[in-house]
Amino acid sequence: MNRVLITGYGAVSPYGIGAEKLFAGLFANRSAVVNIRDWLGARAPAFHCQVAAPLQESPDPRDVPRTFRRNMGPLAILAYRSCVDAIAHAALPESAVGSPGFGIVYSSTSGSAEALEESFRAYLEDTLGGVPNSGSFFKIMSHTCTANVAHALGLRGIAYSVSSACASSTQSIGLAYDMLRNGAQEMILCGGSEEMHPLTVLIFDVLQAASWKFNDSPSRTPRPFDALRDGTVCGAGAGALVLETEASARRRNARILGEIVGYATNIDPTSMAQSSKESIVACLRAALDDAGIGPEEIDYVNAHATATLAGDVSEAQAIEEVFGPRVPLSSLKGHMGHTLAAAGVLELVGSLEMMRRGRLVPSLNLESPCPEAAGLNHVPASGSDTRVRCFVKNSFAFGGINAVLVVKEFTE
Amino acid sequence: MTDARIYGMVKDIFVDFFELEESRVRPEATLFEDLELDSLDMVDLSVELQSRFGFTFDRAADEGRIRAIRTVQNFCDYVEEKVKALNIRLPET
Repeated sequence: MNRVLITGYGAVSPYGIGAEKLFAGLFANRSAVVNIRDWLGARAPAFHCQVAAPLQESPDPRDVPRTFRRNMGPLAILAYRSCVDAIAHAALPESAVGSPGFGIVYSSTSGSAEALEESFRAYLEDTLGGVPNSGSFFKIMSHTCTANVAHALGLRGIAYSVSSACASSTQSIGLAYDMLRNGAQEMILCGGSEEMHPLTVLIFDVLQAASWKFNDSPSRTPRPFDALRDGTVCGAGAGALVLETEASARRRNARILGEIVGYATNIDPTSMAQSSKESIVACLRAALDDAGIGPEEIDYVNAHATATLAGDVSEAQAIEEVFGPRVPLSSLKGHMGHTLAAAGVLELVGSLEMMRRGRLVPSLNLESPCPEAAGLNHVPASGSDTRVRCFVKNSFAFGGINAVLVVKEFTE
Repeated sequence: MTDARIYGMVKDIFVDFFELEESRVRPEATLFEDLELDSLDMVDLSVELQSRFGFTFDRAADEGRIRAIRTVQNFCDYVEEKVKALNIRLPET
């Protein structure tokens, strides 16, 4: 089995374009959550939830050549930018990107909702022959990110599109890890993108999973593990990793940012809305088994914790059962909301930086833990200097999907 | 010689929508080779015709005529024919 190394990343987060802006926001404990009017202006719908974490800075679509841009909705443009930045960060030559051994496993919750809205409007209002333009389908199809990024970058390897809502990018990284360690590819771009449409907020609102009690003080929500939490806040973003085999990384003398050593995913068939504690425990243990390490070797857990009433409880109880009360944990949802398909990869990139700095970021807005999470070792609100050799990244999704990655600092 | 208004409106499609440099959009320029358009661009060209002139490629009636379009001038000739046949009023410049 090949060792699988992280050699580059790219991030577009609610804080803006680039991993440095993500890190600046996270390590300053700055909230990226705003009132929905600051995002949509007068178009803001009258949902209960009036908070969101939109992009404070968006990539310029004109940076993408028109031939490729015509087939991209905002979703794929974000994906493209994250991947271009990841390739640059990994210092990959063009020749490597176009080789048959270079693949892509990218993810999104769906195709572009904005493009879908435009197409349905044209169809229902019978304008322009019912089709806005030639690129409509390529923006809407569920593999829009993978296909568009591959075309724009000239990739020729294996291309998969993963779609599992909020676990999407963690599953895409996990699938890429499996393919690399089994020798199917030498390098893979993986990650996820979320453009965020008002409909996304509405869906969470209808499911009573969206925060609405802090509409007038957006920076105070979401509140992972907190007793006053009242739901999550939807956000936009995209992230990408360059993963490669150790042999490939050594051959080109690549800078190594971390090693993926374990991955597990499972499904809980008991509820579409939330994963049970038991299924999360099973997934965490399977990931540790895959890594061949015990829970005592984990120095930090980056929790999924979206600040929903039930979800945080299941996760807190599962973490306590697997790791006991010792392991430091935090969730980054309080900082930048829930970026759904991008959440796993953006939070993993944030965790890599915590490992590099030896500095843990707390759960923003966690002031008084709920009783079920009170026995856990939450990173203190001021952060903490902690040597992290190995961390766990959790992601869970509607549909009952669980996904857990185990990441280690690279040692010879 | 194409009506100057039609030529100007067609040129605008290539420059504004397809983001081509104006100097490349010459009457003799071929759509596929010189301007590097492709089959998807032809779909968009049809949509742009609808939005700017009020008609689209009529694949049933004009199939042979459309297939024969090679250059910007060929395309202008087709547009001019349709504008006259359909009695389309062009916007005043």
